[in-house]
Amino acid sequence: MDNEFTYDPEDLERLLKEKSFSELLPEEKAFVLQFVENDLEYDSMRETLESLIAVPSMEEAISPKAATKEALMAAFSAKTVENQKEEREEKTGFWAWLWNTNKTILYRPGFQLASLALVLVSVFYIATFSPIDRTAQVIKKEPSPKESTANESKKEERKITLESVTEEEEEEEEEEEVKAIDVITEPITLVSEKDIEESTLDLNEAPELDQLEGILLDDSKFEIEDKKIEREADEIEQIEENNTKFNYQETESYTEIIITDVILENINADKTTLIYDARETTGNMASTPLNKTEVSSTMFSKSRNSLAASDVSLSDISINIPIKASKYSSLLSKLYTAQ
Amino acid sequence: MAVKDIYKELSDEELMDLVKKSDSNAFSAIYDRYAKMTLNFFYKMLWKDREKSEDFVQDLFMKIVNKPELYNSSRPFKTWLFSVANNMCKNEYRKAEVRVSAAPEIFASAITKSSNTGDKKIDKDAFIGELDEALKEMDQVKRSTFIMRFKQGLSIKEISEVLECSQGTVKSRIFYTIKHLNKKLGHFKNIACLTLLLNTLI
Repeated sequence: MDNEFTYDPEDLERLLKEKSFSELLPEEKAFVLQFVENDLEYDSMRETLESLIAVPSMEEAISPKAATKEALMAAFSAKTVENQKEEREEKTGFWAWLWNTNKTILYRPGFQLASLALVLVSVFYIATFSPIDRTAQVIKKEPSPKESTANESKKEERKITLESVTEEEEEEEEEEEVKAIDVITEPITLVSEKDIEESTLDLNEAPELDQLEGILLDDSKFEIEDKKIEREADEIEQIEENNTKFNYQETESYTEIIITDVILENINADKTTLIYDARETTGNMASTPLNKTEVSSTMFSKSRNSLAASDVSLSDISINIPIKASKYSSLLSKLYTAQ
Repeated sequence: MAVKDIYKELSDEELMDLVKKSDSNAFSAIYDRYAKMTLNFFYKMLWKDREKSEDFVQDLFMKIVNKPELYNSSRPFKTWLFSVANNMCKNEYRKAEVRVSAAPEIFASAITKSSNTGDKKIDKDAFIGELDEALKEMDQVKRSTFIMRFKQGLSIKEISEVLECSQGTVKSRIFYTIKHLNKKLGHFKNIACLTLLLNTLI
């Protein structure tokens, strides 16, 4: 009975092929009879199976048409060409270059470009939106109690521009403020035209100075200075008018004016009169036209020597030139001393 | 040795690897090896419709042309090819149930014609006709199992791989198919002897 477990229904085909019912072992018969009714059915099935196995040789096998193969081969060739074209595009295209699988990932252009872009974005972000710098600016913007009143306008300006101001810059600004104050409050003892121009420029810059922190400008100083400048300007205009008259006389009557004597009257006053004793000459003297600024002791002495050396007719001329003593005091004193 | 002879010596799997690399000679070799076999399989499965069978063979190999990567090299090519063919037949059965139901009439008329002649060849044709009719009455799975086993010569193992079932299931199906055919074709018991005789005469 143990052999019952060695056979399965699947093995019946093998038994049918190999053995007739009479050739079966007793245990095989017992097994076979579980699936067939009797020995006759077994033998009948055996014959049928033999017939079925013989059928393929009886049947006429058909063969595929040649056209089928031709069509398939043509399709295969077309597909091959298409595949080769795709492969070529994959190998030579932009994406193939960008992500070249033949190289390691670090050497692929796509990876390198992406890394570069990441670095640039990071740098831009840090430079633009750094939270550390912002904190620093906020801290520096905090006003001290002392500065709160004086720096009000500047503080507002800082809030708008959000400029980070260092301590050194603040010190420099303070130094500039001190210099500006010194310029404004400097006593005006010697004022030339150049000085007037410079002082005028300074005054033009006064509005900016007004904005400086902690400096209280005294408007009275500016008023005094304005008056002085106006006065200087008037004097210059008057001198120029006189020179025009003088030059007119010169062109009319003289070729050269030789100063022979200078008398300074009322030297301490704001306005005084400079008296020249001049003579006409026709000699070969220097042709430098005479005006107030070119009257120097050197020229004076030279002219004297020239007069002595040459024998020319002279006519004494007295010219009164109103001039500001403070402006030409040094020159006049030299002239006076020479005289 | 000619190039084609070299391809003939290669296994199915080796040929398919070359087909994947667009080797037309390999494709030609694999077609020559299996075109006739698959055509006859379709011919038996599709009610002996020659044109349809030719179309099915072309469709089957077009799958290889278009997507050879569908074939997994770890699996025997023959069983893969027959599983694809079997699935095509299954789909065709589903699509054309009307034609399937009409097919027995065609076979019956063919059998009637052949039965009237009365000589040995007619007995053979009659046997084949009745066999086809008997197979027609079976379900598609048993039918394909029988055709693959007795007409295409596939082994039990190959059939089990094609149908994706155990070898025991295949053997069992074959046994019950034989039993069923024995009842239908019992009166042709001497057909085997007749076949042997015919082969001897020829």
